[in-house]
Amino acid sequence: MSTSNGGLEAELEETRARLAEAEETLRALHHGEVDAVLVDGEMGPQVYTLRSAAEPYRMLVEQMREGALTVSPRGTILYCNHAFAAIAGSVVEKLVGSSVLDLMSSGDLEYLMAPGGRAGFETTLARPAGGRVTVLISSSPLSEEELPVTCLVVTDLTRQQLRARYEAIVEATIDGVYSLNPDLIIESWNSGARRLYGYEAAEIIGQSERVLYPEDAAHGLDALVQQVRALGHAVTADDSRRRKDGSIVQVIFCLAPLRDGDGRLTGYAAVAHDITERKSQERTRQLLLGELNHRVKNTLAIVQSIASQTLRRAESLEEFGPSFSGRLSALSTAHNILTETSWSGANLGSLVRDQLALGGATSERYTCTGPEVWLDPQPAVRLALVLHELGTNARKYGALSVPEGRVDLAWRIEPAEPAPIIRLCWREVNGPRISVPGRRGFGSMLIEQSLRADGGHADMRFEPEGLHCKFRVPLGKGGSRVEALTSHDPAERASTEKAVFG
Amino acid sequence: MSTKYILVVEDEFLVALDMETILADAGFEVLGPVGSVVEALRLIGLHQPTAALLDNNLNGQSVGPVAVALNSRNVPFAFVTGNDRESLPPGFNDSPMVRKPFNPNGLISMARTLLEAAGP
Repeated sequence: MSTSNGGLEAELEETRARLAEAEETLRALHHGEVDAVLVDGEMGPQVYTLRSAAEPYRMLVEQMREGALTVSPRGTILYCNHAFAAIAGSVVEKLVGSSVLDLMSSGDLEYLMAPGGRAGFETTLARPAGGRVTVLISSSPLSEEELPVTCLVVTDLTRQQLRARYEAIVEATIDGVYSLNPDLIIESWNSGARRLYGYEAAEIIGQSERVLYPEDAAHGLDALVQQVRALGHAVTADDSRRRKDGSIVQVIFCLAPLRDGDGRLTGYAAVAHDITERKSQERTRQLLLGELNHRVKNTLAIVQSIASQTLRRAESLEEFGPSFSGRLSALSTAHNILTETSWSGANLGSLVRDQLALGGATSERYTCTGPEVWLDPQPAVRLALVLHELGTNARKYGALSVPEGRVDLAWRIEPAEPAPIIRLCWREVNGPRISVPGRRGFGSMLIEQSLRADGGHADMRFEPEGLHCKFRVPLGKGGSRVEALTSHDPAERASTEKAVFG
Repeated sequence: MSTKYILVVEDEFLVALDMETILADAGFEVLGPVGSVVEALRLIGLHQPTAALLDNNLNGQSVGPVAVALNSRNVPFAFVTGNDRESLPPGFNDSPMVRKPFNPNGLISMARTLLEAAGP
C-alpha cells in the first residue's frame, strides 16, 4: 500500500471514478435499462445477472413493508424500494440519485456508516414535502460489493406507534371488540369481550360467533350477516348473547365488513356494548309509569267518588262547594306527605298536625299525644280524610266552634295477635252542647267505612261536653315490619315506638 | 225469578262506595263491596253472584284468582281499572272492561250487559 500523498490522491480519484460509474450503473439498473452488470475487480471483470439469481431477493425487497435503500459513502441514494418512498413521502424516481442528506443530518449518516453497521437507531427524517417522520434505521455495509455501499432498512415508527395506540384503545375500551373471519370464526378478542362474555381469548379464538348466541336467536346472526353483505357497511342491532356461564346479556351489536386493498371481504369487525343495565332501567321506568298511571286513575276515581257522595248529601250547591274543596284539600295534603316519603308511607303525627292545621285549628286548640306510628299509603290517605271530617265537624258544630273549646287527640299501640292494634281517641272538650245529628252525613259514613276497610272499628259518641270517638285499627298487614318496629319495653316504647297502621 | 246479585270487588273504599251507590240507585242488588281476593272468594263461595265487577289491582295484589273462580262458575264479569288491557290478569285480556274513572252510565250499562249475559 502506497503511503505517499500522490499515491493517496490517485487512489481516491480512482475510487471516486469507480463509484460514479457504479452509481450510474445502479441508476440504470433501477430503471430497468440493464439486466447484467460487469464489475471490474481485482480478479478481473465479473458479470452480475440481475434477472437470475438475485431476482427473488429484489422481489422480496420490493414487497416488504419496511423501507430499504442503499447509499454510497457520499450519501447518494443508489436504490430504494417503494416502501421507503412512502415513508419519505416521495416517489422512487425522485429519490434515487438524490442525496440522503436531504432527508437526514450528516451526523446521522456518519453514525450509520459505521464499519460494522448499526442496529435500531431511532431518528427522524425530513420529508421533502414538509414534516418529519419518526423512523428506526438499521444499517449494514454490503461487504460483498467491491464498492462500499451501505444498506439501510427503515421502519416507520409513526405508523407503528399509531398501530400500538389503536391496539391500546381497543384493549382499553369496556366494549367487546373482536374480529371474525368470513366464516364467522373469532380471530381476535379484547379484554372488553373477555369481561362481557367471560371467555378468555385462548378459549374463544378459533370458535364460531354462533357460540355466543342463545339457541333461540341463532338465525339472528345469519340475518345480520346477510344485511352487512347486502349493504356493504356496518349494521347495528339490539341483541342478546350467551355468556360462558350460560347467562344472557343484552347488547348493542355492531358488525362491520373488513376488506383488503382490492375490496375483497376479509372478515368482520364486531363491537358489542352491554346494555343490560339500560334495559333494566327501561323496565323500571315502564313499571314506574304503570304505577303512576294506576295511582293517578285511582286518585281520579276517589275524587269522583268524593264529588258524587258530597253532592248526594249536600242540601244546596252553596253547601257542596266548600265541602268538596275541603275534602279535596285533605286528600291533596295527605298526598304531599306521601310524596315526601316517595309513597312509602306517612308518620301519623305529621298527618294529624297537617289535617288539623288545614281545618284552621291553631296549635293551642288541640293536643296530640302518642308514639311515632308509620302508616302505609292507603290507610294514611283514609285516615287523613277521616281526620279532615272530624276537624271540619269540630269547627262547624263542635269544640272548635267556640273560643274555649279544645280537642285532645291521643293514640297508643296495643300488643295483639296476629298484629298489634292502634287505639286512637278523639275527644272534644269545652265545646257547645251538642245533640246526635238526625241525618247520617258523609263524614260519619266515611269514618265508619274507612275504618272497616282497614279491618277496624269506630265508636262515635255524641256526649254533652263534645264528640268522643274511639277508633280501633289493626296495625300493618305486613306483620313482620310491625314486629321489627314495635318495642315491648314500655320506657323505650314511649320515645321510639314505631308501628305500621294499615 | 231469583234475585240477581252483582259482586263488587274494589279495595279503595271510596270508589267502592261510589260503585255501590250508583248500582243500588239503578236498582241492582250489590254483593260486597269487598277489597281483597280472600274476601271475594269467600263471598263467591257463600252466595252465587250473577255477575261481578272487579278492580284489577287489590292493594298491589292481582284480582286474577277471583276472575278464575268466576270463570269456572260461568259467572260473567268485567274489570274496572285505570290501566291498559295488558295489565289484566293473564288469559283475561279480552274480558269486558270499564275504565277508571268511570262514567256512572257506563258502569250501569256494563252491569246490565253482564246480567243479560248471565241469562234468565
